[in-house]
Amino acid sequence: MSEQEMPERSAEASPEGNGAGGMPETFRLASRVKAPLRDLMKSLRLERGQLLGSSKKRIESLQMKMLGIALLFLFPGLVFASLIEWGSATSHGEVALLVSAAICGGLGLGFWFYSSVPKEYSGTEFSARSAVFATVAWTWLICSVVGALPYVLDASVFGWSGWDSALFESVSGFSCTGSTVLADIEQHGRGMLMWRQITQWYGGMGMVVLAVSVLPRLRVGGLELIGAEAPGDSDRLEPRVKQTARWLWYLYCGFTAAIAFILFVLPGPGLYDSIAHAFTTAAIGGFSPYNSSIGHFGSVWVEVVIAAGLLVCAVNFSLHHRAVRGDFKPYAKSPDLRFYLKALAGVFLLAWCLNVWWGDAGWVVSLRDSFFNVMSLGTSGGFANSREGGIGDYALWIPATQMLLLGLMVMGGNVGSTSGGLKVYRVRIVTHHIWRNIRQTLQPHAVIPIRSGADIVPEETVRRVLGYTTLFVVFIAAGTTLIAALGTDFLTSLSGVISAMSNIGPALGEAGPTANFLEFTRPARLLLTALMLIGRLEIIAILLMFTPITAKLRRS
Amino acid sequence: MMLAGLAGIADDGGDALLGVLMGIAICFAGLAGSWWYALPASVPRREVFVAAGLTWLVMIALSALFYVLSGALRQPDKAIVESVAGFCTTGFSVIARPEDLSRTVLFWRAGTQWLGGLGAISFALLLIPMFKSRGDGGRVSLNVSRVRKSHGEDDFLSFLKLYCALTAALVAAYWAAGMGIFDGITHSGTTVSTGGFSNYSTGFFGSPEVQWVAIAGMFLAGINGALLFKSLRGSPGSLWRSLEFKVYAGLVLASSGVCLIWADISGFGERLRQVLFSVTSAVSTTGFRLADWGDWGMGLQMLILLLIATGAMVGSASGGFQILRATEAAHYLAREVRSHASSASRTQSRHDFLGEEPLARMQAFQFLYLAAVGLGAFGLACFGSDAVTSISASVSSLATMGPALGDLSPAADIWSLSRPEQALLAVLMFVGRLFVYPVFIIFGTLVTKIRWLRR
Repeated sequence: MSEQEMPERSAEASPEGNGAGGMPETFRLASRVKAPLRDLMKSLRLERGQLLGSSKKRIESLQMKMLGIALLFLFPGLVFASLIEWGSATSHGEVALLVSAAICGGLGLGFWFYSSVPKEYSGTEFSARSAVFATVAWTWLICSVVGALPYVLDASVFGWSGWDSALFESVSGFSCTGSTVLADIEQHGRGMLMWRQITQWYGGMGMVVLAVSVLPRLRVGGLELIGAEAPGDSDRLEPRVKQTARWLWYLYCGFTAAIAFILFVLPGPGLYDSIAHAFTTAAIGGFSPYNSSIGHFGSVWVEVVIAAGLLVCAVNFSLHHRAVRGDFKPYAKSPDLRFYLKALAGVFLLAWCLNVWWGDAGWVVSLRDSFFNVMSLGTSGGFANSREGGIGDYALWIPATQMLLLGLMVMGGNVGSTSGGLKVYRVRIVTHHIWRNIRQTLQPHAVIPIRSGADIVPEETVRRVLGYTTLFVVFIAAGTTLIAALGTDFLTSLSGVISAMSNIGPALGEAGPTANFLEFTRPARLLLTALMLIGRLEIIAILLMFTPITAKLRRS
Repeated sequence: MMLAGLAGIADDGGDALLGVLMGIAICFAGLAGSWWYALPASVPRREVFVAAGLTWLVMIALSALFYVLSGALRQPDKAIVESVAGFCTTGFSVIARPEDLSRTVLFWRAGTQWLGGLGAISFALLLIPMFKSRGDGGRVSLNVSRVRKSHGEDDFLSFLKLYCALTAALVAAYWAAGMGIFDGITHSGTTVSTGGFSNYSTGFFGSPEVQWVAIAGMFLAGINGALLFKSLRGSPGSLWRSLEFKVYAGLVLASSGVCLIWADISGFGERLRQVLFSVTSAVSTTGFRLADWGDWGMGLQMLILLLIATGAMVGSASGGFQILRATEAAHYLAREVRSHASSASRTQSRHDFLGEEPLARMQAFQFLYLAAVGLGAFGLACFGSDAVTSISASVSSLATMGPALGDLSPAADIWSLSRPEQALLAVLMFVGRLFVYPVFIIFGTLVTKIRWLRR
């Protein structure tokens, strides 16, 4: 009720403070012109009067509330990073980090304090559904913009002239991608580098929320696949989402702590490196504070720990949740996990054989480097381990092995994890669908359902999975064409786009694990920035980002 | 098959006798076969697939035999690759210098493509119900039942007439544009079938008039046969009403426009002609070579590759994904996105859909096609091709196009590749020509037959 009254009141409150009765003709005309604009503002729930605090009432806006919470989450990270920067020997960016923390905290507090979650966001009708998508997408985007502040405020990183690079780095962080446009990573302060790592960790955290709250509504991912919580109807969502999100976050933090601890115990990485890499391993991001990534340590054990960490975090978290409760059966029963492990093992063995066959390195070195890089790319991590005497630079592997890696990169990890890509579940459904159609052509009257474990996958889900996969392919093809048109060679464009869409990190060709994304031209990097977000938010959320606005505009 | 005989008569060289003899032998075998085995009134669809696939294979084998016996290609594997490329209407050739071949062999090469194109159209229009066109704007009806013989024969005859008429018209046009009559006949055969074999290794003819004729010919060859027939029969409006045709024409114009702006060719007229030639050659998956797009920017090369993958209209001899399927996929995607935005799970599109079942089948086809591209590219890469060559060659041979990117840009051909690579490409061409699915059907049917025989 109050929501309907609001716009009228603010419309009446003219700048001069006159009542509506004495409004001059010209002003009426102006207000008529302004009407669509005001509706647009209304769609964003940014009523002028409310924002200035003329009304004591809080603004009912899911977007603002969520954004406020997200920004408040970022605040301690920025403070933590600035403290490290302050204490480090090569410090020069703590002011930038602190100013960003202040901006972030201030905005976050403002948004959080002046907004409340409207009650209507529990139904599944049009506005609510697309509003949830739109909220997540906008929050992700704005967090990335705020996260880029330290990079632009510190002139030695990118400065204001390199705003697009800063945005690229930030989006690459928040989308857990791990592509970098920093030419020399190690020359920057440790706190600034820690902020890079933290952005990925936040991105992983966001992924967990996404997996719990948004993807089940897409009916293409999330938890309903495992049947752990089966949110499905969103009116049941409220009490459960909180619980689910909470234990997922416990798991996520637990994995981070565990990886950090194991890395710290090992000789080589100190506390800083352990924490920094634990953040990006748990988030399956792939940032590292070193130019040569994991290759910096030159330790096979670090590689094993990171690879194991990546694999654990690329598995559906609800399986882990069951395991924590003492039920280990789902690991063995999950068809996704079995398919995934088979695929990883198959590609690893093939890559190993091909590397031994065609490479000069011995079979032990090939084993180590094939294993690490298959795990790193197969989980959508994107760490690199290239070093002297090794064959970790997979941009130099033979094309056949690179094709295998490209396939893995497209597939990505499992649903309900922090990994990116098309997801194993979708790949499985698509293969089943192909196989079903071949069988149906041979037996035209057969009705063959697609099974996932013991359950039959609903046709609706199959349809959505096929639609999503098609969209994914279309985006890759279109993206590759555009990036190639912007002046990059074929393999680099194709692998760069796949890397961005699947949130991997390094690509092949010119932008391999020892290079960076400066190989792409400036407009191409902006396009890749968009593709990283699109890939992370599973395309649909991005497409629906603008529907609430367009719907409001159309209505007005 | 009579064409083998014709090939002999066309020339009085050393291979003529062989051609005539083989032609006569094949004719007798064919006549005997049709005499001994009466066609049953109705056949299960998959049996027809098997028959068609086997016929294709037998023709390829016979043609390869002809190449070996005539001495044009000594190695049997190369002969097989050449005849696969012929019957699959792909513009790849293992012959580096076709100029050195006798006229008989040249004629037969073109003839294989002409036959292959005819086979492809009838295969698409008669055998695969999903592509079965009622001629009203490329709408597709689903007929999962059995192939009706009488109806099929009717269609077949009318297409045969149209196909021959188009070929004859092109011969006349090529001749009028200044091409010799022999070259005219062979090139019109490879144009109308979207084949792409040429009698010369130096690219397509230097004469602008001939190139314009080829552009028109390739464009026509990419149009749905049924639609073209209907529009020529006196209702030209049916062509313009067809969404698929509009998309086809729009695609050719739009991509030509893009190439026209960015392609690096001097002289506007020259550029226009070369760009239009390349675009129509790519989208109709003909594979004639004129401009070397390997010298163009990578973006334009990607565009060409996408055009190859898209292919021309359903019901033409072109390969690739084909436009009808692309438009249906686009509608499908639009519906998916819209259904996410709205509460209704199924939103009606402006254009009526194929129906859920063919749509699902189309999607399966699309992913199968992608999987085939991936596997083919991996296979080629295993033999040492670089990424761009292997991926684009895989796309190109599955679309029965020919020239691709990288090492296989129009300036080169597969004679420069190793023999296993050529063999792999031949397999891809065959799979692509049969539109991927039927390969599995044929394979599956054969497996079940063998199992049945064992029992």
